[in-house]
Amino acid sequence: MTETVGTVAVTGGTAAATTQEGADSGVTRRDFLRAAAGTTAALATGAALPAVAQASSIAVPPLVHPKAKIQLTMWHAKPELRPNYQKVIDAFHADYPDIQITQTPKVSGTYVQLVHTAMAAGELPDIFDQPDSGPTYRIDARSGQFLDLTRRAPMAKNLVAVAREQDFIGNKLWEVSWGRYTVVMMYNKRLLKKFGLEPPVDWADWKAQCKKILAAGTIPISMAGDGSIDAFFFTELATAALGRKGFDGLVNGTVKWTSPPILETMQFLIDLMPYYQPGFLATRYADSKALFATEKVVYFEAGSADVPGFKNINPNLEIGVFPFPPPHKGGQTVTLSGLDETMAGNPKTKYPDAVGAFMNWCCTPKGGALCSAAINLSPVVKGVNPPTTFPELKEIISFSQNDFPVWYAVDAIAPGFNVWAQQGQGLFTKRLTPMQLAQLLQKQSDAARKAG
Amino acid sequence: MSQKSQKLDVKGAGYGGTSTAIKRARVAADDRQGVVTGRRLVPTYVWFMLPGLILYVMFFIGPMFDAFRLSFYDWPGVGTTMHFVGLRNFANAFGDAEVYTALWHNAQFFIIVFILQNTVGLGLALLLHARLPGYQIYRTILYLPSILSLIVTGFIWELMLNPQIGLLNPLLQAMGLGALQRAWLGDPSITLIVVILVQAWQWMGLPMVVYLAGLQSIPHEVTEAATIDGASRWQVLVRITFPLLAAPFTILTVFCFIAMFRVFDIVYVLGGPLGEPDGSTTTLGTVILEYAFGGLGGSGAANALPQMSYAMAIGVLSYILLGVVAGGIMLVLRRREISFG
Repeated sequence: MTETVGTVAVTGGTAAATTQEGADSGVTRRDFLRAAAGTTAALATGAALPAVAQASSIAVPPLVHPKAKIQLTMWHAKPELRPNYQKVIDAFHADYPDIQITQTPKVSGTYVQLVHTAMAAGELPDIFDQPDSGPTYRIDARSGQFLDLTRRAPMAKNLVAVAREQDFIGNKLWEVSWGRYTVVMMYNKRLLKKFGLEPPVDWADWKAQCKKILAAGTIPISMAGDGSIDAFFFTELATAALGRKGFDGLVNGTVKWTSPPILETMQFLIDLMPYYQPGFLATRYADSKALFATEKVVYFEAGSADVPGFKNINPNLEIGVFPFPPPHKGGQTVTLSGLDETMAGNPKTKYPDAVGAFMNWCCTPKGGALCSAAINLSPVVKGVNPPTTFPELKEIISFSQNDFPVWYAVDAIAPGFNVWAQQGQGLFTKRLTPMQLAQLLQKQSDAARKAG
Repeated sequence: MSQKSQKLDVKGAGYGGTSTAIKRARVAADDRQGVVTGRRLVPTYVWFMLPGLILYVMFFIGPMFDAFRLSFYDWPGVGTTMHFVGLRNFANAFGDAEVYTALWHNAQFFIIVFILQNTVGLGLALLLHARLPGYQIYRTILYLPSILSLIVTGFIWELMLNPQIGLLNPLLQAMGLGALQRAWLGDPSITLIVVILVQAWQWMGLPMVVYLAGLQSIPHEVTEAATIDGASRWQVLVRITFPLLAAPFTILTVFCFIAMFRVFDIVYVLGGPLGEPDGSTTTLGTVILEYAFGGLGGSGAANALPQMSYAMAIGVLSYILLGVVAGGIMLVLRRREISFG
């Protein structure tokens, strides 16, 4: 029995299958289906292969200065600062007309995994904001994941001490930081004035203030209990409790994690629980920032890098800052600082000297000023003034005389910090007592020291 | 040479006839298509399957074998240094309390969703099967959550359950049930149940339509005969209808088991990568992610050393577990199908 198949034309340059009515003529339905399936299979496979290849290669936006002889690619995780980065790139291009950098911002939430995957696949861009610090950074550097910048960026000698300590491993330079963020306690000036209060001078004062604020119907402190803000908060208060001598002792192992200042800090964090917002254990970092930005809380532990975001959400927000107070009167206040936007080079780049030229330029006063201004952070190049975009930044810097590095960037105490980030909630859920948590931190620290 | 298409003649073979006879009939049909070279034609369906198969091999089978290979090393996931460590990762996984905790959470997912799909899901299917007025609209509405992306579902519920700006707590307050207000995602004693219920809400459309299809295939005469013989509605449901739904029950049980032991998206959105609060919502998926990328709780813990090979070992063990248990479930339930069939 013959079957009648209509005339079909497959467009787009594929094979056309045409049938005719009537028996014994043209192509049957089976033949048509075979031809269509085979064509589809070939097209799909042919299209998939370049798509697969392209997916693994770097997506490069259109070139801004196509006449430059050397084209470099750059990744970073701050898409909201794309115009700022372009200013940096354009200023560099003005000094080095033969080198053009094209930036590709990536989503920050998955940036770490993206970079690690690209590292493993050998598909890194020429320049990238490398997301690792501490032990992971060292593993990356030792296994040749970064371009050696030691001789390519001699101006790195201009970096401030805290940046040199982190960017150099031994005598070798593997990354160049653009800015330094400092973590302080921020407060809503309007709300604090409303309650007739001044920034606290010690922990007892702070607790009393929180009690008064809560009684008036306002949430005193915004806390993200997801291992982000709570972990930072612990390290800042613990640093204030330890002081310089105690901090150095913790780093070199002479002071234990089970020492009284650490236990006192943990107890203080538990005592402050009634003053955090309800459900703080489920509050993410971004949500906790939003609570402060929308003036629902008085206090929030934040970094200088957060100020532009707050102002973006609420330009009328009046932000006050104070360093972390000591447990008792007479002690020293502290701030903690870390590096942000640490740029590294791809060891397999075709243009290592061009990458080195950019990194070197970032360490000059001109480059350093532009880089730190782009990310609204304190500069890491000596002699460069901080950006004046936000007055709060100046205030933060003025409080930073007794400054310490963020704990996750210090090899000796980073493991303890990481354990807190993962287990610290147990303190608030009463799964762990302060001593039990401290013992976990000590155990992790000992294991890391032993492993070297 | 005839260009006519021919129906495959299996009369000689008969239904359930020998495979040899069927093969002969097929060859004969192919011959009648005008194969003059003696080459056997590649069946048409192979060509249709080919693109998907190629992509599947490239993106699933290949990486799966490579993951299995890498699970025998100590690769952290960054850098290129790795050493062969044999079965050490697997041995560590068997002794890892975090893995067992996650496994238990996955088991709770399965148990609760399994119960709900066979009560709520079946109940909804029965209601729809009754063809009450507006049943088509209800069917669509009830199925809608299933077509939502899991990430979107998670975000919607995260907002609704937010203690500051959410809907649920104010709603309870307005209904005079203020005493029931909770930090739904911040209380370790209830967060897992909340996450499971959200997952169940998203999942329920599938059992509903599968059971509905099963109900529609049951001949009316069977249930009518039982009713005439004096069986109550409950007896008809339990003794007639449900046994005849053995095939859908098997499919749904296996799907539910695999899905709930692979659950990740909703847990990641609602509980975070570390299974917050305080690890009460960890699942195998989040544990694997945590080990693979070194912990993602906040900017600090992102620098915890990753253990990619170890994560792969856990993944391999999960794969084996799921395969063995799902296969066992299917084997047992198939016998039930046959006995009821």
